[in-house]
Amino acid sequence: MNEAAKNISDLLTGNYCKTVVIAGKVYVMKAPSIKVILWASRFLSLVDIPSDVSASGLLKTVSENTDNIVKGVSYLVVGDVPDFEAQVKEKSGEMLSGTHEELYNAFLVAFNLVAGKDFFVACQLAMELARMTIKPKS
Amino acid sequence: MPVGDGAGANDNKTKVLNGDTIAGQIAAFMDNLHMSYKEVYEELPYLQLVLMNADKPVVVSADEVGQEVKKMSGKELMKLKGG
Repeated sequence: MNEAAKNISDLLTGNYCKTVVIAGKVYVMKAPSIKVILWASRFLSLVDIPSDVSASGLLKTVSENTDNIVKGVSYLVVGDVPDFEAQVKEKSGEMLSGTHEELYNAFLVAFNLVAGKDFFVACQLAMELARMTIKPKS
Repeated sequence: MPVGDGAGANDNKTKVLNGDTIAGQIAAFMDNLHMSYKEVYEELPYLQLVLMNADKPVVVSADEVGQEVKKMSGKELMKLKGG
């Protein structure tokens, strides 16, 4: 079975997920609903990572935004469950002992999960190529 | 983005405006997929909604069949880019 068919079957059956390792623990993020994305974006939107930053600058940015990244990722890991606030608090406490690299990786995985990179990467590449060729009318 | 009027070829007189925020997207999902606010907001994963919305079958009239893909040569593209 090809990768696209697997991704779509996983998504429709509710098994589509991404895993991250933080501080020696494995966390699973399932495809979130809009509600969960908005909870996470309350914190992830505060993280500003410039596109032209160096590796050391990147780690500095992550270290300055550790709390926001940890809380945002925790909301995506916990999802929409009845006692989500208590669980988010617990997961955030556990994730705080992760390294900056692990947190940055988790941030990227969370972003790709919301943006649907696995599903729309071909469309995004085609769009970028089209924009390089012709600038669209504004 | 120019769109057709649903009755024939694109006339370049109609455009899609707005839809820049998640609120607009929720409204579009509800409208296009005929779902309730609760289903769109908290029940289905966002990715699934995007996929359903993007891949929803559409009916095209006989005039439009074969016109969806407009092939263009490299020379024509450069001419368009140049002005």
